Amino acid sequence: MEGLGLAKDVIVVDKLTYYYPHSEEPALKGINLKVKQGEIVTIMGHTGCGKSTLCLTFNGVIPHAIGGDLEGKVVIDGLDVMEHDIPELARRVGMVFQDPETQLFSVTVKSEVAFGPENLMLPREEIIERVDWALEATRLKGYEERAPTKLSGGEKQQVALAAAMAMRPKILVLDEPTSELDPAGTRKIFSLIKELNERYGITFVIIEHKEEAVRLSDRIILMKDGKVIGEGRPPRVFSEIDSVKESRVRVPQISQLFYKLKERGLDIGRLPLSTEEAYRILKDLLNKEKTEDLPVEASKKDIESQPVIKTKDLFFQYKNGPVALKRINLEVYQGEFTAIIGQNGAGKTTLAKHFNGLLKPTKGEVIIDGMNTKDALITDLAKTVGFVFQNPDHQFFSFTVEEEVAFGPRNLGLSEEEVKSRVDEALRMAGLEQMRNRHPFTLSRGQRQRLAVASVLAMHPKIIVLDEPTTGQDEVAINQIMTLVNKLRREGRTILMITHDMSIVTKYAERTIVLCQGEVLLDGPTREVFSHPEILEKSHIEIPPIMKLARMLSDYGIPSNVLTVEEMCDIIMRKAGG
Amino acid sequence: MVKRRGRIAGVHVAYIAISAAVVTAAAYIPMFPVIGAGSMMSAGMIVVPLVGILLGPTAGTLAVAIGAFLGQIVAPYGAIFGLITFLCPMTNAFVASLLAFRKWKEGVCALGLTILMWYVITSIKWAGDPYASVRWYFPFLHLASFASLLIMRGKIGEWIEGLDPKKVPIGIFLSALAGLLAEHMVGNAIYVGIYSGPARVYAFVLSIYWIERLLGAIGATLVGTPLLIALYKARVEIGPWSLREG
Amino acid sequence: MSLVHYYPGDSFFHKLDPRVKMLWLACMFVLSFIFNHPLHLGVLFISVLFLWIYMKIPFSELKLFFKALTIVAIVTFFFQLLFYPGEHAIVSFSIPRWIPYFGGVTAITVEGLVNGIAMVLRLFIIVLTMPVITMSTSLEHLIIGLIRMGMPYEIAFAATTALNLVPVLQSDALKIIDAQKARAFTALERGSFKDKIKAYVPLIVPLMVGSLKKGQQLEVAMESRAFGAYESRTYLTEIRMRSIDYVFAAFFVIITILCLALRILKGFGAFRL
Repeated sequence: MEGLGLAKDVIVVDKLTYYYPHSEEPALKGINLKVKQGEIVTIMGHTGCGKSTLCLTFNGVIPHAIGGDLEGKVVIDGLDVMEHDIPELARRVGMVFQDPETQLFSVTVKSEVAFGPENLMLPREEIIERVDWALEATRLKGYEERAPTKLSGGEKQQVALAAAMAMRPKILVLDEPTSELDPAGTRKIFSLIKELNERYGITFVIIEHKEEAVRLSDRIILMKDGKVIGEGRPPRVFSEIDSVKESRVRVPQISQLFYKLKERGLDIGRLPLSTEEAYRILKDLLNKEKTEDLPVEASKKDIESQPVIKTKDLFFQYKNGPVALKRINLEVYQGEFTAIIGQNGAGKTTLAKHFNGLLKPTKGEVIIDGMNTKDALITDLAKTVGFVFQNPDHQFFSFTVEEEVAFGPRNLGLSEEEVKSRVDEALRMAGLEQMRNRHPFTLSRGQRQRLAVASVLAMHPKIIVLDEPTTGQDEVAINQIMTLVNKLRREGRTILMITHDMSIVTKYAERTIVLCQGEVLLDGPTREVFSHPEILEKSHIEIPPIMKLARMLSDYGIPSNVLTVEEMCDIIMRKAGG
Repeated sequence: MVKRRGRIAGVHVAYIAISAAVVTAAAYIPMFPVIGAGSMMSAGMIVVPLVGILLGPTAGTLAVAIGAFLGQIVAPYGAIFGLITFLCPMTNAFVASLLAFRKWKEGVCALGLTILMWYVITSIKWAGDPYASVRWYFPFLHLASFASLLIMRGKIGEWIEGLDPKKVPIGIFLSALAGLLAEHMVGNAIYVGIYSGPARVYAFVLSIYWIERLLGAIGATLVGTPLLIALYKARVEIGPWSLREG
Repeated sequence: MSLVHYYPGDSFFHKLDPRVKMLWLACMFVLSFIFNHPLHLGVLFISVLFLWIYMKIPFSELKLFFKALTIVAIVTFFFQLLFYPGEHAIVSFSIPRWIPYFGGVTAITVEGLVNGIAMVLRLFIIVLTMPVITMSTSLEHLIIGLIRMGMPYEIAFAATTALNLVPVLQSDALKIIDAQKARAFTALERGSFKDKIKAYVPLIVPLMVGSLKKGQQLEVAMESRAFGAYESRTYLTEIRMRSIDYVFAAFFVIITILCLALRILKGFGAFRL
């Protein structure tokens, strides 16, 4: 937002140190921070760095509702958080959280949005007025009588925003608002943030991992282990790649590119953040020339071999429900790494569940490693296809990590020695040997995700399906998981991964399948699939920034189907570095 | 500052709501059909005493009351006693929670009261019924449990609070069993008192009820032990170690 | 999947204040116990059925209830028929003592028969009156009714929130079942009795842990919107008692008391031979 110079500080944090109840280690250590009215600030950092904890002090939930020990000062719009209670602070700070399901609990959208004002004991007429205003501001006019539970993920977050807006806050804090959303939902939320900021001058503090948040922000704050380790305008913050790497935050692709170029000797000076800026800089360095697209790698499959997964005219309809999959014809060969992408509701998980027999086709056939899922036993399919679900917490019940991993092999009726050896192997592969005697819930989110993978590995599956394995995780955890997955692929296993993260898709998956409304929209080598942005747009899928840049530079000797930062870097060095 | 609301006996409404939802949802998970009352036993037998043990005598009983009541509305065909059916699981959670939260005297009294209620009601309603004598020995398991609780005194609560993986299962088993038996007494007292259940039926039920109650208590123990430990490790602020007088 | 079926309508009953409807429910419950005689219970039963039809509740709902109640009704009827002690036998026979449970029964009595019918009618009345309320009143109105009658708003919120969360938990339960099946967990379908009891552990533990963690998040979300800030709160939905509501409330109470008095004094509604 322009003209912020004279705006006053609406959040002032002074030497803030905080301990959770019963905790020896402080979650926040000496934080100093200021936010001006009207700014959009994004806080980034690894899981557990204290970003959410910090934000909960802004509306008094910490320390008043959660307890604990707070030293230092937090002043919100002139009010000291220690001296004012939650209701007063909640009038100034609205909050939206990550999980749409646990922040909406009313019967209708209208009553959900009215909840806050009702709690403040505002007169009825004012409540009605605020509800109308909040719904209009968040583009939800007409949704009044709808049930929040029946809305899409993006719509639910919109309702959460409206509910927060109804408090008429000066500041809105959003804690990973798009983690659970698909690209379409994500876009909607970010554009709403921009609009609300411009129209109403609301200050935004956003916790995010995604690149789009960076483009939106006036300032970025980097946190690590309870401290602020960097802050400033986005281009400046991301030009200090070391502190960015230290905070385990994802570096935007454009910044990555220029940093790598700098490492290889091509120093441009400052590091651009947006594709437009990058384009302007690079076109001056390159010569106008036409070039050919990069060749699309032929599939490595053996012409003779049989596919490990084969679907024939697969049709699936939920009992008394909508048709979820139509005429799916797919062949997946041993050793392929395939990404499945598409909007939420397009049928990705539904399709994946056919691969281990959790769902059986309504019409058509699914053949896994020669077994027809209609007749095969769950046990046999579980031995062949390992399915790692999105939320690892949906399966843990044992006392130790070891026990948890042993569950699968024990169900297969294997001998105790065999079970033990498989458990050891799986823990080693997943890097969890040190944790074997710990209770699953004492592990971090990323470690729990790896535990879920280990539990599946112990079944020795040929095929592994991962349903959104990296949602809401920090860069280091993502790397650990993807390295593990890659290792499995190199062992010859077939990998299928459902994800919304396009940069992982372009980096790891050789093949991509795009599902749209239950049908296969595109299916082929990743490079090929991402060369059709107009088609991808139908599913609200955006090609990664590097590819966008490549297309923009197609008149300057850059092939339009460059997939990754490394490739782009190589090509630029060849053309401009010499 | 204004006095805060939103909590009941120290437990935030959110926990009460979600526990109530679990109880309602559990009513849908059938276990095995049981003759005697003519209905299916559900996973509620496991969930109800555990909610009591986790949330305590006030909040836990309330959560179960709400959950069971909602279950009646949502699946009214399971509400064999009509509107008051929910009183049975409520008693269950009440007794189990008292024992788990070291209020053993109140817990034992509550169980004792339910047994007394049974004797009184059957004596009145079965006057003149040739089989009436079955009422004396029918609650044999309940009496045994009552006696054992008098011997255990507050140990049950200690065992659960201490979170020793060896002692916790025993604590859960005894609390859950007491809860299930108290519920059973209340249910049967209603059946006889309001629905004029004849004495003959009880000669029949005598040989089955104790198996199902024991199985329920075993189930609650098998589930409850890992559950309580997991909640402790996951730092959820619930359970006697966390809620009882700070 | 909506749990509580609400069929909005214009009927007279729909428009009654929720508090009056709840009073009606209580009175029906009491009346069904005041009466013992199948005739009186029958009249009550028909009045409930009439309400269902008047409110235009679809027959499919009614069928669902009847289907579910049939087993219980039949069992109850037979127990009463065979085991209710009575003097006036209709059919005499003798079941040999060695047959388990039924051994020793000597007759089917009139008392047993009549009591059986009465029990079944009572069962139906009790079970069918509750849905009348929930199908004719929106949840918000019901809750406001309860709060205005003195229920603390924490309890009201726990109830509505619980209702909204049940489908979420059900879908979680399905996800858990899927995740465990993917680890070859089949004990639910096959497996011995012993296995089946143990089978609940991998299902209920993750479900409850997940739920309580959701509870934590819910707590923060509610606090962030100032829940519990003050002693009371304003409500968006409003209900107001009209004079006709008072009239009906009085009517229900008077009829119930009258019947109770008649029953005690004149044995009205009791079955005697």
